[in-house]
Amino acid sequence: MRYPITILCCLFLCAVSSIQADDSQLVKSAPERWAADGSGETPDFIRHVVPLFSKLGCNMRNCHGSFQGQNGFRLSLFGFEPALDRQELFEKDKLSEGDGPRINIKDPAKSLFLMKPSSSDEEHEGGKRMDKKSWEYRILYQWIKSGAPYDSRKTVNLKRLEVIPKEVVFSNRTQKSKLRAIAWFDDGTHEDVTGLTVFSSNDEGIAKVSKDGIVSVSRTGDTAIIVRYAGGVTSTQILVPDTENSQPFPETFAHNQIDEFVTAKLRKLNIRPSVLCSDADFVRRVYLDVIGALPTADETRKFLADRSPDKRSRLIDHLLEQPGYAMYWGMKFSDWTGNSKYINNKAMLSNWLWQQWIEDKLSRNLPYDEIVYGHVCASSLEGRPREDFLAEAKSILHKAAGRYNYDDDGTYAKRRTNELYWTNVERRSPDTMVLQTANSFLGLRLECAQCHNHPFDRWTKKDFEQFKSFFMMVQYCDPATGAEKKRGGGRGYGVESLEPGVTWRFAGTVRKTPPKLLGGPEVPYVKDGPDARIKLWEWMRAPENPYFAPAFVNRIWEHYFNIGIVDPPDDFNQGNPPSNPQLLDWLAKDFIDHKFDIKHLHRLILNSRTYQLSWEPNASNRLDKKNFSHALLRRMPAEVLIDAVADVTGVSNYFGRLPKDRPQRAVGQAMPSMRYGASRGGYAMKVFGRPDREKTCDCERSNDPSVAQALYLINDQEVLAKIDDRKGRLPNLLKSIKDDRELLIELYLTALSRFPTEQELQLHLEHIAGTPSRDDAMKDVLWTLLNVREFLFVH
Amino acid sequence: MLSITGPKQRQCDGSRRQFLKVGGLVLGGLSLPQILQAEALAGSNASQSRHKSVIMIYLSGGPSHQDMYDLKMEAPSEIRGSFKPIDTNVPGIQICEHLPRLATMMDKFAIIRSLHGCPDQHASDLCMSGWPIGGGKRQSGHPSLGSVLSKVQGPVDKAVPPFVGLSIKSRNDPYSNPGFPGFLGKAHSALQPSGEGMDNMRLQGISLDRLRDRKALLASLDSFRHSADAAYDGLDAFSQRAFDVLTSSKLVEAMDLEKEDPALRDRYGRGAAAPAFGEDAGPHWMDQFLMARRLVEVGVRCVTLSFGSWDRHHSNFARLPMQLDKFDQGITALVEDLHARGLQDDVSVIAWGEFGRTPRINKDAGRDHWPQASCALLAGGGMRTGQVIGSTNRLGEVPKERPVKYQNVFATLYHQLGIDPQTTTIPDHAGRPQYTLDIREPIDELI
Repeated sequence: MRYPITILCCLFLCAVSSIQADDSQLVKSAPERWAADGSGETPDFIRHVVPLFSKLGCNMRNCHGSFQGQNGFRLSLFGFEPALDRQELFEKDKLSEGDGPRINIKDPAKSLFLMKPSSSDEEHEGGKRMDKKSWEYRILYQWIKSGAPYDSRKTVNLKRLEVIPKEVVFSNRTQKSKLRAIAWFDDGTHEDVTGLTVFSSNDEGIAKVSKDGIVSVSRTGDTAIIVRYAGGVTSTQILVPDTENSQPFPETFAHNQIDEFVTAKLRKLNIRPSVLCSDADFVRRVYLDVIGALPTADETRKFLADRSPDKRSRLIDHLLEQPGYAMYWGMKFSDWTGNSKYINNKAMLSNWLWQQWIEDKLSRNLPYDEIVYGHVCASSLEGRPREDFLAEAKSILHKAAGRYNYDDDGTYAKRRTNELYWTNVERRSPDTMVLQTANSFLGLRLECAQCHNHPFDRWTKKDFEQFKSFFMMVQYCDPATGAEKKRGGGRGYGVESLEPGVTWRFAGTVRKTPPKLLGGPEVPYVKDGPDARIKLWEWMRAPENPYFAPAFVNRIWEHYFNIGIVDPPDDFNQGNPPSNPQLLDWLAKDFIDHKFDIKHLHRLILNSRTYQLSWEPNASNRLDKKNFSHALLRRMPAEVLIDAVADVTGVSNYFGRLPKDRPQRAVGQAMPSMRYGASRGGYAMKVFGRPDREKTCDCERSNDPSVAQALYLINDQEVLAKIDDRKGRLPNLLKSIKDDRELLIELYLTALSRFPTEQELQLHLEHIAGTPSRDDAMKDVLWTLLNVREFLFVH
Repeated sequence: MLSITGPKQRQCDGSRRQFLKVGGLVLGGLSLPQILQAEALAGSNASQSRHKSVIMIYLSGGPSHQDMYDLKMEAPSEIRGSFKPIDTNVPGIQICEHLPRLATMMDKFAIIRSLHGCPDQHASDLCMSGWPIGGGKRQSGHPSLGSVLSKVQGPVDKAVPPFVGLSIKSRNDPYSNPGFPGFLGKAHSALQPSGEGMDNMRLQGISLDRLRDRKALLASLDSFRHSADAAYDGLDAFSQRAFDVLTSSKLVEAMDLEKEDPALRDRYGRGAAAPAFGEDAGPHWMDQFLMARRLVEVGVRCVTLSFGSWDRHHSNFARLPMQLDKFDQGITALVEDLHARGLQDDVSVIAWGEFGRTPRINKDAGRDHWPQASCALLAGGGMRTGQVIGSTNRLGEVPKERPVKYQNVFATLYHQLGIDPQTTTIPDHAGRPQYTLDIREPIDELI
């Protein structure tokens, strides 16, 4: 388990004193050692001086940590390059009068580097950072006085950073708790580094932390305090239970294991879960969430009338077998893996190849690790003789020559691997491949480590470079000849594992920077050896990989709950711990135990009581957003909403000619930012935040509300024309249902998946009575149903 | 769900500050937090002082510096061209004879003669953002100035977007770039009146009365709304604002030039939104100068537009007199009007293109691409005008004194708009703080 939780005594400042007792080996803290009457010993550059730069804020991005430095003085960002920092201190300060040295070993107090941040007279843009009488000042002074020593060969490195306690449960709001940071070094020593550690709270609305590590809290909830020292990052969980509510915690009936983990956490916080949602809420929610479409009026009627106790789980099973499941989740996969217009110069066709390829895997419920193999280890030949591949390429490319020719035989869809993942024009840069793969399948954002060590995780620039080597050991080749081609345009590029004897442009780089798995061993480059990507894939899918299974189960979870257990779901790092680590660990383990069975995972989550909770909060869980105590309202995603408007009005969109048997639906459109014939569907896609899949970030899809969206539903020609359409649902119903009440019920079931209340019926009947034309009155009703908040949201 | 406090993004600098999620679109990013902020400002004294804004005129195709503000009379005839310099109302500054109106009010303009550092790229990217197309990305993935204003300063008025792009569509698509949002995302793209979304700000096919009826029906029915609002504060603000926009339409009015005095419209010169000379380029659409002024008046922070056909590989001396006359009329009408309205310290104006043109005249009496040197014309914005910055060598080939890069000009504009390019960073999608520019020193002579 990556986040072991020590259940500590819930009370107060307890932990500190008890731990000190058995810490005879512990090196004393810096404030003690460099107190006014302290020992006066020489501080260590790595252990004390550089961390102090971070603590005082000197090497932050907006100060001297900027790549351009600040006023001529540059420190490495967060102190990741100590040798450079020391060298910089010995440089003359060109901007100061008389080129004064930053360090004056003979007269330390005259060092600019001490004078500037400690005096309010000296011109220091960053202001006064420390007092001349402080222990911080004395550390720096003492270090300079001793000749500013640093020997990179004799340096002791941080092995592990520990924070005590690992979890704090607050019994009241006035209580304060002190955190301690202990650094374990590779020479076996450990030291109290609290004074040199940077503390920060992930949610200041719940808990604040002082620079000395004192935590105070303000309201019920939980968050993490992030603790950073010398490149090490760890965190501690802060829990603030609701102390007002002294009623016994309600007995809830767990549907499955998920509910046990969720309830355990809620119980700790004394937050009460909402009640189970109604059948009407459930049918709408589960349709929208699983297949991205509203249930029809008849489907809703049937479900509501069903009296059998297992009807919810039967509906779940039913939906997972619908074509809509593969279409909707194929779209999600396309989002995650970046099926964008950059794919190649036959984007439209290729986007469909990609979408249909993934749909094929999902509808057959292939194991998730196998699907990932299809991306990571993609190959154009797939072991076939070159002629076979050429025939296939020719047939697909031949089709591509016509504007609307698609791979209707599913030749590409049935292939084991998806070479387009690699041959994407933009993707051919190994850097982009690393970022995409880490994000898509490991939930990691490695962008930081591209330029400097990751500030919230252990990834160094070197890790990034070595990991990148895996993505250089492929050849982009002309499938006809197998000859390697340089990056750039041109159709018909394939991706292939390195073939023996091929001249290969990254050979030199990879020899110098041997591939290394993230947090794992090096995989030496063997000339003419097996494809290194297989090793990469095996490492990913191994049960002990801390990212692969968690990242996926967390993404699915985020879809159903609108917030991940790790959130954002593509940002796993040590500074962003999961809100419920036990739950995440269990889900990942269960997923692995079930051989990466995706539908099993869906079924498990959908059948849980937690998924089926009402969206209506109660007094106790109103403010809770991350412990799954109630369903969170979320706006329908762009494609789902566009289809819902079409379904309710009974007027389909037109997306141009599509592959054979493909319905005209926005959900599952391979590349929805393409132009759509006469329809303006593209505008709605944009307004409601459909991603172009050009950024390697889940955040590219936006489900946030905006004014333009409201304007669209209130006033867009596309929507108004659908309401007015003579071939639409309403004119038909006006003819076939003469009773206003019956008609209203039908419209409510269609749009809101529920029966109207008596009060709603009365309001509408009054409005109809007061409007000269029944047709116009009913159009008003339909418009209203598209504009009520209830329609727009999944609830 | 509207999450205002969720820790969705983080800065690399370790501050782990929580950012407001921005959810606007097309309205140039009227997201809820910004609306609330704009409303809070409207209620305070802050609105008493006028907002700063900028009008950016892109001369599509690359105007020739040596035929406008930097005539080289001492050069041989195959370089010199046929235009003559004239004196201006600033002693010592001479410009082309085909810019006579500009000459009479040179004190209200500043000229940069030593602009350089542009790639040979037919695109407005550099002029909209300071960034050329790079790494396969428009504007190298960076936001344009208008998008930065939208993100950093937000809307001035709740019904008016901060960023409007008037550039017309052209076959060479990069000419039509109104300024892209780059990593800031679509919420901060320019509202394009010719584009989608604009129609939605006017009532479509139903009367205002019918809309009011429907709104009333909606209000009485939406029981879910009340519970949802209780759980999620302020969700309702968006649709409320949408109704505001539909019933007030300040923006639509600003674009209705019929409301202007016909004499003033004639001063600007009218014209049409069609490509100049039927070539693939910007229009001689004089109305857009006037529209730009009306837009900044109602609260737009950045208006971009494209003007004329400057890629003169042929007929340089035949077509420029007419084109320079149009440009002269439009730009002077605009700057004169800004001064007449007391806006000269609030509204910056810039007119420039993507590169200069070859000193040597080609066989078709044209000038070809010349990225080594270029020029810019600036006015307003409280900048020091009536001066020339920098110079080129004798033949107009390369900067001689005070070379200036496009990003220096942007740094100057940002500075005048109240954004310090030296300290302002915006997190990109990975949470990495990004400066708006790589070169962040403004041109001291102008500020």
